Amino acid sequence: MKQLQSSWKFVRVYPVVPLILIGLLVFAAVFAELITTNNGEGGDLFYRNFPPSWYENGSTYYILGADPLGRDVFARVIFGARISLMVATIVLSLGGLIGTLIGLIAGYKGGQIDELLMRFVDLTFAIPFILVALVVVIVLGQSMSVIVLLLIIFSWGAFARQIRGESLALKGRDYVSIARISGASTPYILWKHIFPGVVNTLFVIGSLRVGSLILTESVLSYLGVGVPPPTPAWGAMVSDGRDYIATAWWVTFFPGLAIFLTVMAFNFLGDWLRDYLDPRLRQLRE
Amino acid sequence: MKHYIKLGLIAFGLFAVFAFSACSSDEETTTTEAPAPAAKEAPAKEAPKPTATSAPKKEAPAKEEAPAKTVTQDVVIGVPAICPPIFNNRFLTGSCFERVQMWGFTEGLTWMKHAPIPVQVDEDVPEKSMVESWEHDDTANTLTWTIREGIKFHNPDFGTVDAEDIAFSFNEAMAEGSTFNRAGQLRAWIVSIEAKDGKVFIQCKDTGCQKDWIRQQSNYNGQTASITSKDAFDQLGEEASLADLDNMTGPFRATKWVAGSTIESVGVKDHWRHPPHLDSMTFVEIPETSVRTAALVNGEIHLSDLPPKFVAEAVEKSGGSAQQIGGGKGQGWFASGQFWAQTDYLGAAGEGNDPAARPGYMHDDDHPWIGEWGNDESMERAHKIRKAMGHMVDGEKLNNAIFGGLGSAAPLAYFGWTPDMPEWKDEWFIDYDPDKAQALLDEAGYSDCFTVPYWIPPDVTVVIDPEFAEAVAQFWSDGGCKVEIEKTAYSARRPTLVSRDLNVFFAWNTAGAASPKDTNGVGPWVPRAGSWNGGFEFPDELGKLHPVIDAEPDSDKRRAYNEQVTGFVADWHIFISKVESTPYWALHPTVAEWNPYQGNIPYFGNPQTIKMKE
Amino acid sequence: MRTFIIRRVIYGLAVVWLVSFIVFGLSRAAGDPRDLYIDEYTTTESWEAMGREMGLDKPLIVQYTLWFGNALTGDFGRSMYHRTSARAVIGERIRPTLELTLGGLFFAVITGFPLGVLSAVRRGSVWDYIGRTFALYGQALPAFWLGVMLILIFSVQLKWLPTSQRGDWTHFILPGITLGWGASAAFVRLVRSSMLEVLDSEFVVLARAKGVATRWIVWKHAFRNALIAPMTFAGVLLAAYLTGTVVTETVFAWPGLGRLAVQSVFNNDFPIMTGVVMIFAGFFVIANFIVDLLYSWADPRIRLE
Repeated sequence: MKQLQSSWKFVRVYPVVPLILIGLLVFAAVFAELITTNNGEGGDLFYRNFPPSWYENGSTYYILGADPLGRDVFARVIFGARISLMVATIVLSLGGLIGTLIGLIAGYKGGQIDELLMRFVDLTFAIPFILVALVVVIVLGQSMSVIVLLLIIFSWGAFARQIRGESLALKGRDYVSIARISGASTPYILWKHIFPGVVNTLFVIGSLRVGSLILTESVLSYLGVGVPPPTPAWGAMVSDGRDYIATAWWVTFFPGLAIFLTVMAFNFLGDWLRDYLDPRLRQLRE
Repeated sequence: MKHYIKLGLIAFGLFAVFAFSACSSDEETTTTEAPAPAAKEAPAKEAPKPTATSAPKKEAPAKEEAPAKTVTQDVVIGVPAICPPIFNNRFLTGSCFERVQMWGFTEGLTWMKHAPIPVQVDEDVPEKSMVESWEHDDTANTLTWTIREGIKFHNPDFGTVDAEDIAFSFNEAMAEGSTFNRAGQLRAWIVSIEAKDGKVFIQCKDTGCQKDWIRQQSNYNGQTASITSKDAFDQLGEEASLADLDNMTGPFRATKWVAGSTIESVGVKDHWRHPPHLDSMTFVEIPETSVRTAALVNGEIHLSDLPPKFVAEAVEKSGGSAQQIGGGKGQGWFASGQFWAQTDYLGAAGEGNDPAARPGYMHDDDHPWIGEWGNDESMERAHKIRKAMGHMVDGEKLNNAIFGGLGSAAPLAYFGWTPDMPEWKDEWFIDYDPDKAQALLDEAGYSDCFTVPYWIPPDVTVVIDPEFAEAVAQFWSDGGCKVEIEKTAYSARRPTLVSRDLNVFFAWNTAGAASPKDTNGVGPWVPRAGSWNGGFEFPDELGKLHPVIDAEPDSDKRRAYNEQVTGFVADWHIFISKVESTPYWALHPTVAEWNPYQGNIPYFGNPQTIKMKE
Repeated sequence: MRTFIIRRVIYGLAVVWLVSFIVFGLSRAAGDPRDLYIDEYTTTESWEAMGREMGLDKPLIVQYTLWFGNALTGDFGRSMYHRTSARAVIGERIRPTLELTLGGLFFAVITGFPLGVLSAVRRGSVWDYIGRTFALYGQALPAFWLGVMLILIFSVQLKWLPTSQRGDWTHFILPGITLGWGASAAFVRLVRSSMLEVLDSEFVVLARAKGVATRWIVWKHAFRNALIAPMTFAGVLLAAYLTGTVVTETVFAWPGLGRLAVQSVFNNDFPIMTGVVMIFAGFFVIANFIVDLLYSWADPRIRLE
């Protein structure tokens, strides 16, 4: 009984559920080949829109059914985790890096540089991303790398805005002023004093943006410029299967569920990180 | 405690999503579960099949047809796209021109009778036409048209159709800078066209007047010059007259026309040719297939353009029927990059017309399907590769799965040649035979196949079903090839076709007519320099035939030329067709009758024949 | 304050100018627009005639100057596809998009704010989780899937609402939800977190200690302060809205700007494409400017130097 109570407490204080989900996601992405022998890219038309295994005429071979081209939905969802995770990792780390750098400099330097950089951020918001993406894909051709590049361009602005605010606040702190007076170089101050102060924010934004990245990818597929088939990307799966929502719900439901669970896990983790990393809130919690 | 509530709620939420999906699908599961391909969701091929069982159960026809309305006949038609209002031939663009005329707003010079399926139009037997009589002077090489009197434009200010209007409409179509699709075809035989003494007088070129002008200027192709008013042009000016909704003579008079949204129109009850049954006709643009289906089931629209695989579902759920329009089209692919022209034989527009420097003409080891014209070894190897790609694909299975068995995997060659025609050659047909495919690959020196770049245009579903195209890629993968799919919009890629950059496999249909049988005299579609093409160009001796065919008066000779030119594509298997798919429209049960024009393009037509149930 | 406004106006114009530069570059990078209009019968003469009509015969810099000069007066050129002025085509579409946007915003506000407040005030309760789950759906459901789903449930199954098209108020419900849910989710999250922050702040704790009624605290102090964050978010929201309208307008066959813009890219119809982008950029800059002003007005602590 006591043990049970303490494990309750554990679950309450730490983000166990999100971490388990993210763990599963990473596991699926890394060991996809071990989980399913089928890579989800090939199919047999005979099994077009084959129902999931619990249907009377389903088969255990297609646990979650098959899509209109007879491809295994389960395998595609599992391998889709790899694509989604890869895209999210690359985009968020590069977008985060660029955004953080610009945000740090803008916030710390202030004045004209700040204004200039922030208007530059405005610029990326002011141009409708989706139209730029269409033109770029039409000109450069459809490929995974083009899509990743576009998503990076699309995502750094949000980081820059937030980090700038944080670094603006940190700039005024005593220890930063002291460092400056004692003659430390700007890169040094940024790296040693300001950056550690914004790492939390960085993680929080990153975890919260995973969802919008996956959804953006799906909209690109919807407009016909997304991840090229037969690569199993969740967004593309939902988009390509949308004509079958009424007749073969499993084609869109399971990739949709995967998106949902991933977004949920990262959101809860982000919320928890925010609470946990904010000392004031942590105090309240205890 | 917190997290357990959270978990519970999430579970509940998921359940809600699940229930959403399930509740919307439970009714259909019976049709979708059955994996047996052929039997599944198949209304018989003679599709008009009002399912008596489901009709009364669901649809309350009174719902959208208010009882008081029994005196009026109104129809709403759901289409994937509505083009801008452009009623001057000079400014019509490729993808839009047929709608203005086929949809009942403008009219061409002649009008062919409605024909049932299979498409077979009696030559030279038009329905009542604008041209009342004609004279053909062989020695002077002229043609004179006498115009029927009393054909009113929708706006009385523009008067009735006279010789001036006809000459004006044709001259606009042929004008310099015209984007009218058939401008070149008209220029090919017309030197000048003018109004003289109340008649239209045409001076033809030395090669003679177009022999089958009656058919060519009719709605047969849905691509002929629409007759608009010269008075409107004079009174309103170019800008205003080209979009003037009353600048037309069709059985429907448009009252509102918003591109990308709606067209509202009223029936012209005293129409000179064919008064419509309908009082009003509305077109609405609904791009999503599933939403068009939903709107049809709900009775918000009464006729809709749906891919064959969704027609059965729509018919079953709405209790309505299906209507075939036009003959089938071969779904298949081009092995593009075969730019075999030696000279720039037509003096084309734009850059990149140097035939020696076609950017896509890469007959190297990375493009084994492209042959080098004049190099027998290279040509032979490429031919083997192209045939191998065909042998890998199972047309029967594609038809059963993707087209619900509504199409046919029967032999069909480029441009619609079928085995019952005398010109047919058995080697044109590539059957499903993986062993033969492997043997051919071995012979060509590509035992492990190669990287196949493959373009699928997802947005021109009337032409090619993207799902079919993706399934073809699956067969190639099964055959050991590494397929790299590019799925980008047709219009986005079209410029690379024009500039001769394209050297990939690309999904398309048999292009053009339903079958040569029906296009007896019609010139074949021959790709030229500076234009759209299937990613290939004919060697000179064939390429030079184009103007000859355009002007050839004898239909047997034209057919022979057709065989020579399009047969060449089939001989070399530049295009391979796997399934002949038939276009259908879905009809709501409130539609009593509709006799669409069975032209060679499966577009909506003959709206004046639509009758609603009262 | 005055220098701030002047500076922001100048910077705003600079942003619009840069956007014009980029969009013009994009429109030329997308290929020769004439390629879309030629066919097997096009002659060199008509090719050049088309070029003259579209102004393609001049050097790029001249083309840009002419285009930008005209764009400033609201003239984006003549659409090749529509054969009429791009302004007329765009003008026709602005209203439907604005209506749809307002419908979406309405849904977002009436659901997002109450749920955000509730989940903050009753932190840890069922309401909190309802609010957060609701927000999750908004963030995790692709709009085209949600839209078709809503149509299947409310139009096909229940027959309560029309499937698509513009029309009376019933036509706004499904597209409004589809477009607004994402924004609503953002509101729930923002309102909740800023409410929590305010509720935990010293002055509220103090007020509570003084015995001020909780309800009064929530509405009088916390809510008003908590409005600031969602307000600043409005700028980002606007940027995301065009993407949202593209999908929603396509699913619900809504004749708006988003779909027009996407089609213009596919049609290589750059007068329309550039026009929509310029209007959007102008709109964005103005809205952001207003948000900044409101922000400083709502929160006097923020100085606009």
